[in-house]
Amino acid sequence: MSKPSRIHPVLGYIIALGIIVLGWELTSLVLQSPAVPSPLTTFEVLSQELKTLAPHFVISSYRVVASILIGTALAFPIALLLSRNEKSDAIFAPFLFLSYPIPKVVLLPVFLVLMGLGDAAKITLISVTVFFQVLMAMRDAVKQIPESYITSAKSFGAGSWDVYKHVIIPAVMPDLFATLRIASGTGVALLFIAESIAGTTGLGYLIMNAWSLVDYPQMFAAIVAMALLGVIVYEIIACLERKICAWTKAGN
Amino acid sequence: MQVLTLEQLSHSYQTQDGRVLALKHINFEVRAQESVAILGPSGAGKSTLLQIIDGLLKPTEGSVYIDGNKLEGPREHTALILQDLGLFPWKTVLDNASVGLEVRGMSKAQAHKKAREVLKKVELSHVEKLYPQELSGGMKQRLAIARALILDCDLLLMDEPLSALDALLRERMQNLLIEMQKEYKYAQIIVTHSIEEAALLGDKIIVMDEKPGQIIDIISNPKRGESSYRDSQEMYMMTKLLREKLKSSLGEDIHE
Repeated sequence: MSKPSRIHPVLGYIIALGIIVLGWELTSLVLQSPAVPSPLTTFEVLSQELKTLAPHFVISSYRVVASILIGTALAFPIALLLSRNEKSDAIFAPFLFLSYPIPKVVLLPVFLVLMGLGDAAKITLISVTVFFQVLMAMRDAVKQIPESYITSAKSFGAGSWDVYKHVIIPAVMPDLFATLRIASGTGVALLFIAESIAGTTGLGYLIMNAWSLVDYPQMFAAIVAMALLGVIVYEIIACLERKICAWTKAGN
Repeated sequence: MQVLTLEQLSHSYQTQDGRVLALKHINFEVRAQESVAILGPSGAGKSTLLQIIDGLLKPTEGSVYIDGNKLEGPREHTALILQDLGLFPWKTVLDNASVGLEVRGMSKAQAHKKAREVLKKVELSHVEKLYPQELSGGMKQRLAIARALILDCDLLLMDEPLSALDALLRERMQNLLIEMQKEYKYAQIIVTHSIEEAALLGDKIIVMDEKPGQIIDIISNPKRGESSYRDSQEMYMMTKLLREKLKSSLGEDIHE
């Protein structure tokens, strides 16, 4: 039986992009609304407004990347420690189960009051969301590691740190990247909400400001820039995953 | 290691239904370079027994001694091969082979150097960059053996390591185990369900009963090391004897 032919990832992206732009063009033609300008108009505005968009793109990128890094850096070690220590887990698990379902976005007004309209409140909001996503996913991932891996390491004389280094951390890496890919989407969505509510910088602000000025081509150009930001963050995470977790593709 | 001694060893553990006695009054000795097979049904506590001998579990009663010294934890020259082999899927063949040395403080470069020598012995040099999931069943077994050999073990513990293999591959791996033990001169304890495997690999065969796991007989098998033993009358007689011992322990009529 012959192997099914596979499309090269880059070609796949080009085809998908073509279909999206075509769908967008058709929607624009059907709706005939200034709120949905054609792709051509949007790309023209995008190139004309590049100087205006660029600083907002940079600040939004900084906020979302910093938030993902902070949330992960805090959650990952806590999850590893909790899941390997039954007593601590028994104490902290109820707090997690109670606080995880709370939509963190409702805390935005609190963060704005406490930290002002600058970066801190926005980064905190996204970091807290990523923190809980990573914490819950990693806690479960560690518990799923087959005990034989740990027994095997211990039989070499591995201490706690060796078990983390050689078994637990590499074993949960695929789950971490899967969580981060989801968190990147959530992060960009929260970024839009936070930037559109408070402050005068970022793509979220630019989208809502253009909307209020009825400048729909600029609004749509900023939306495309925000979508591009989401794709770039997602692709960086996917690229790191391919590099660090190459073993997951081996033998397939 | 000159002698491993298990003295009045018992082990129990807590379950939701109360305490379960897994092992009861286990006593036996293993001498240097001796090959011991532990044969018994599921639930005889054989895997628990190996983990106790490896120092991973503390028995609730009795003790394990190595050369007269009480075992308090995992020791440097004991290696354990688990039933599912415990190979790390995120490490290449080379890294899997060298991980034991790295854990023991050797630099990665030195550990790799030694691992390459051992991989050559088990004929896995050509796949050192592959991951375990890319290997065949027999290759995985050889990698597990390499992980043990690299530790310069004088005691190799194996928990049904060949149970997942087909008959022919199993036979080849049994021969490899015999060769490796002759070459590296370690003592080995192999836990198995297979009567033939126990007869083939054990200089001494410990037959265990289940619930609680206890020794019902220790049978000496002096002809084991002789050439063409596998197809000999002695091998046949030994398997017959072991089958009778197991059946009698299960209360079955042996004269069916």
